[in-house]
Amino acid sequence: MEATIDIRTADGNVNILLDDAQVGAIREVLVDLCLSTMAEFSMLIDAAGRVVAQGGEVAAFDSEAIAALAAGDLATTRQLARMLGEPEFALLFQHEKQKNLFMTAVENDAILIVVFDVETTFGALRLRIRRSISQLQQILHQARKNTVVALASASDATRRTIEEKEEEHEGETAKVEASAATPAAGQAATAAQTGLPEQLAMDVRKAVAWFEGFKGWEVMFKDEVAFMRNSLSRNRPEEVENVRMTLVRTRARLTEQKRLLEAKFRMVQSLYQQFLSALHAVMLKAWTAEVVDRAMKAAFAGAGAKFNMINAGAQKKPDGGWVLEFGAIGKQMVLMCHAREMNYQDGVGELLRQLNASLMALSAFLAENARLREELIQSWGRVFHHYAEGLKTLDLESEALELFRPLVRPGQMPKA
Amino acid sequence: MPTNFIEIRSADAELLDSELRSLCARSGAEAVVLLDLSGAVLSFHRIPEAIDVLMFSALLASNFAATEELSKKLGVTDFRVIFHEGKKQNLYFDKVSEESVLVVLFKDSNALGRVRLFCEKSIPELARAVAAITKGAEAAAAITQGRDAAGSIREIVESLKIPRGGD
Repeated sequence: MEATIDIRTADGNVNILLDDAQVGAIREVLVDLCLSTMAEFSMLIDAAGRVVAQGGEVAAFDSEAIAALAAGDLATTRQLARMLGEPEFALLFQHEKQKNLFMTAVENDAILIVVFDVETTFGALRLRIRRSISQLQQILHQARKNTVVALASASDATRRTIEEKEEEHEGETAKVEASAATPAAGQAATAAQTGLPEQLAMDVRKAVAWFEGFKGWEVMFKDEVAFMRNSLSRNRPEEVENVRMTLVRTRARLTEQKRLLEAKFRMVQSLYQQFLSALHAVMLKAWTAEVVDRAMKAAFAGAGAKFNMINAGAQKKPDGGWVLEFGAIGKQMVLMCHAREMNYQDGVGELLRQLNASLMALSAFLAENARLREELIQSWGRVFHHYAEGLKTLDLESEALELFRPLVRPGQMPKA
Repeated sequence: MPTNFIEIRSADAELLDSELRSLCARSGAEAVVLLDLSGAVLSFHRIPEAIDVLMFSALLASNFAATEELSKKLGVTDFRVIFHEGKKQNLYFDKVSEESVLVVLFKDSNALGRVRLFCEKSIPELARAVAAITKGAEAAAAITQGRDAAGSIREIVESLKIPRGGD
């Protein structure tokens, strides 16, 4: 199956893979919906806030921004529904003179958005939307089935590749050891000599090889990896249970840490993107776009001398705004962690320091002007409060607060 | 902009309470909440005990703010109303003033039209009461000069010990 687009859960895991034909079918349903109801625009997005397909007057709307906001909105709506014991809420906002929006979850992680103007009656639209929803559900069910099959075969293929590589690796190890020792000892240098059962030895070797590829994790699980590595060569049968437990525990902790890291990274991504947009908007009130861009570039370039993640990721959009491209930032962070033997959690810490440094440098200019300073504090404060709970949970609160530091005048310090 | 802190005098509180009671009865609603956009509850009536009102109103406020932001992206300039349609219960949000929102929880058996009608009738009175409260809060904020006017980040300011330019 040739997947072109994936549907992700709110925490970024791939849930459904869609091929060209399925994306085309979804687009057809959306276009059809717009044509038959006179709706202006419709869009299917995933819970991570990414656009899957759209129909209608696509050019008239900033679909990516709408998708990101809508996904966040639906997440709070779901929380409200849960509080009231409802399975799900469909959301509708209305404006008598301008535009109306209807938003509902199609599947767990797919959200349908329809924008319509005052000419369209909602009663008629609602009936038509039900039909579109069931069509979309059919497509997504089929895609989900295909995804399960595709992922199962992919994991089979990966397993086979790992096993092949391992065999090669074992062959090479045996050769090296054979050349170093006497021929008799060389022949004895086999997996059986680890003192671990064959399956466990294989699992441990796989785990150690994996950690070698991901230095950031190896640093974090230094003791565990060292213990497992040594267990392969020590031949101590009494250690077997200990090794098994270490392997299981390390796997479990690794999964937990990976999730935590991913959540942190995503939280930082959405928070700082909004901080940057707010800052950009306020800066444009004070200077021309050209000056603002120059200031931006200078601040990003100054974020760090080596492994500057912000400079690697900051990009100017065609519409004049600035975005932080977190794909590039993530790559740079991994490179830095490898080079400096840092764990990835500290990598996120360094990323936050760089983000704070560049945004603080920019906001320092604005702090000179009382009105702009006030505006910036207010818009950042709003964004911060929107994310406050999540930041607290992920222990990111204090780093995000750092950003407000240059904005506070000594005279305004409240008395403790 | 949400103010630093809100002081509600007992007369205002009674006024809000009686207005929400009458709205609840006339519209056949299950419960009503009037909240500040920063998530603080100004007044509420008949919220089920199982629901933590503070958390509920914080969620309502953030949901309203997120949807308002979404509406701006669509070019709506005067955003006011949201309707959440559930299987058995619905929520209706109506903006009372720049800083406050009225939220009505009602059953599926009740008509949205009825809820909307009585909300619209109650809103002018509620808006007046909210304006009186806000005015009082502004006056209080003026007295405590030196505190940041952007009350929503008061905690942030408090956590800072370093003077400006300390970066």
